[in-house]
This record gives sequence, C-alpha cells and structure tokens, in this order.
Amino acid sequence: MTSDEPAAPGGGSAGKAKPPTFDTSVANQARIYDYLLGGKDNYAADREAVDAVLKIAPEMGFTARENRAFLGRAVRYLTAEAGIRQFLDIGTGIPTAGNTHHVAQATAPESRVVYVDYDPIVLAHARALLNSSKAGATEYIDADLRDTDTILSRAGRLLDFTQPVAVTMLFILHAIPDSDDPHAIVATVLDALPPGSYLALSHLGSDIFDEEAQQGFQSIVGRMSQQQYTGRSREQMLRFFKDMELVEPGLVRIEEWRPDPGTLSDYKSTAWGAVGRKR
Amino acid sequence: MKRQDLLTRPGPPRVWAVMDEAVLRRPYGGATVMRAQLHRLAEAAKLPHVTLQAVPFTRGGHAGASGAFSILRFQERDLPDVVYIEQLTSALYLDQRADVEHYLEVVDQLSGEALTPAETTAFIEQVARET
Repeated sequence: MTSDEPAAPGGGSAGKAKPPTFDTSVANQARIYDYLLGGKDNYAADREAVDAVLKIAPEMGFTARENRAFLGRAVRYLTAEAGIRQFLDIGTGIPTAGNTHHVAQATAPESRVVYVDYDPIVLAHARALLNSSKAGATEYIDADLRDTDTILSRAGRLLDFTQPVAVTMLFILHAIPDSDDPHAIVATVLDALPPGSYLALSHLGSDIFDEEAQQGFQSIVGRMSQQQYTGRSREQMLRFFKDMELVEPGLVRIEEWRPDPGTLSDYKSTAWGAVGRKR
Repeated sequence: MKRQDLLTRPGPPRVWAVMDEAVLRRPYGGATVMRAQLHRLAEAAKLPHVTLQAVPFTRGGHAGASGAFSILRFQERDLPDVVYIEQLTSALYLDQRADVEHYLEVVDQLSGEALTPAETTAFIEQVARET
C-alpha cells in the first residue's frame, strides 16, 4: 500500500502508473473532486489548487456537480430502462452522496457493483463507506485503469461476464495521456464483456473548454496536482464508442444527457458525456 | 455501555474505527472476559453502519502511535469536523481547520495501512481463538 516513490506532481503517468503516494502537500484528483462537490475529505493543497482553477474557469464547480448528476441519471437509466444489474465502476473517487451502488440498488436491490480505483486512500474510504444492500453486493479492486488484466480477472469473481455489464468511467480517462492509448484500454475492457453491455463515459472536452481557460487550468494542475489532464474532442470521444450504439441523445455536454425536467440552467459545463451499448 | 446504546438505536451514527492490535491482545478482565469482548466486537462489525479496521503488529509502526482520538463529522455541509481527545481529567475539542487536518491526515494514512474491514473481522476472530 505504501510506496517509496516521491510525489512528483504529474509524475509516473507513463506505462504502468504507480498508485499516488499519500501526500497532503500536493493536490490530488480525488480530493480536488471531493472539494468541488462540497465534501470534507480534502486538504489545504487541494483547496488552493481548486481556488486557483475557479478563478480562471469558474464553471469547474458546476462541471463537477453535473458530473455527479450525470452518474445518477446514467446509472438510473442503465438499471431501470436497460435492465443492467452488474456494474464495473472504474475511477470510484471518494464516496459522497449517490454513489453507483446506491443509485443502482434503489431501483434493483440485487445489483452488484465492483468499484475500482488506484488511490489507496480512495479505496480505504470506499471499503469503509460503500456497503451494499443485503440483496446485492459490492467489491473493491485496487488497480490502475491501465492494468486491465488485474481489473478484469478480479471483477470476474463478483460479476458474471456471460451477462451484460455496465462499465462506468466518469472523469477518469482525461487522466490517461494519449501515450498510454486510452482508446485501446477501453476497447480491451469492452472486449471482455458480452453484447448488450454498456459503457458510460464523461470526460473534460478540449473543444468545449475556452482555450485560454484551458491553458491556465493545465498550468495550475501541472504545477499543483499529482495527476495531469488531457482534454479530448468530440471526435476523440466518439472513438471510445467505436462499433457501439449510442443511447439517445448521443454524445452531449453532461448536463444535456437526459436531464431531469426543469433542471437545465444557463450554465454550460466543460465535459462530454455519453452512454453506448455494445452490439 | 451508554455509548454502545447509540449503535442500536434508530438512525445510529456511522462509526469507522481503526485500532492497534494491542487493543485486541491486552486481556483486560482476563481471558474469558476478553474473548467475550472480542466476539462482541466482531458482532458489532457486522452492523452496516460500523466499520472496523485493525493494524496488526506485523505492519510495524503506524501513523496513529501518538494516541487515541476521534474525529466527529456532521452531516451538515457547513459544520466542520471536530477532533475529540479524551484526557484523564478532561476532554479536548479541536475545531480549527489547521488542527483538524493533522488528525484527518493520520486517519487517512492509518486506514490505508490497516487491514481491510473484511480482513479485520477474520483477524479479530483469530485473536479470539488465541486468547
């Protein structure tokens, strides 16, 4: 669980990444997101980075909250309308309200959810706080998204890969640089799943994020955070769903994906979201 | 005992505790009493709102070695965490963010070092057999 790696901001993203060292003097992706959502599991360095980002990209708070809302609507759709009962949630993050198994088990208590994260502190929180209903089950895997062999072999202990599975990767793929070929990673995971399985993605968009703000954001994150971000375009996003059928309304800003009536505001997020079905 | 009643009343608080193996090994009240205590602990760990994690001796030193404390967290967003430390003749409450964060850091570190909740249940049962 512990690592001797120095906590160089942005270090260790090439090849098989090491888990992030627990270091509260550097901002950390999971804690940044927790702070943006109004959580209490964050430290001064995280808040400092977020406050700097919000000065140049004030929509980031809205984007984080909308990503959480997108998770809720996507998982509800997958459970209630698509009939999915098995979830593989990669990039779990620090538990907050409305986690994947809460949403899924509210519709179908027998739902089984495997949570995957590479951050040992996130995993400790998930194990402590994300307890399944009696009818369903939850499991936790300590693994980097790039390590698809570990994820698939261990998820296969709780999930039945002969039945459809929904994979959720929300706000995680933008932490994977192009040099690690995120498209190949997603394809490998989906190859292991049967037709009728689903993929739900959300991702910072390079083409819906003001260029100047985006550069400022990258520079702050580069200096202050353990993880780096690669925004991606609409075209790059659609390639994640190659050979899949997109659920209506297709690839849109996260807040525009099947919004609950009366919830759309004038704000615009900087993130793409979509749900696709494997043929 | 009064404090334990909290766990079984409706709307109980969520308890997440990390403890040193020493707490499980020192036989307060003798072996028979201690075995009963350990079984009681293993039972409590099964409650959905209770999470126990043990740090076994084999893990070496740990981040919480400076002594026991509690962090009280409230559901309300704008109520900050409070650190509660019991002393022999009084108790200490810390609510300044800079203070609280040191304790939060210890808990984060500890929960990552400790056995997982599932491993801890098995560990407590093993210690009970050896007591």
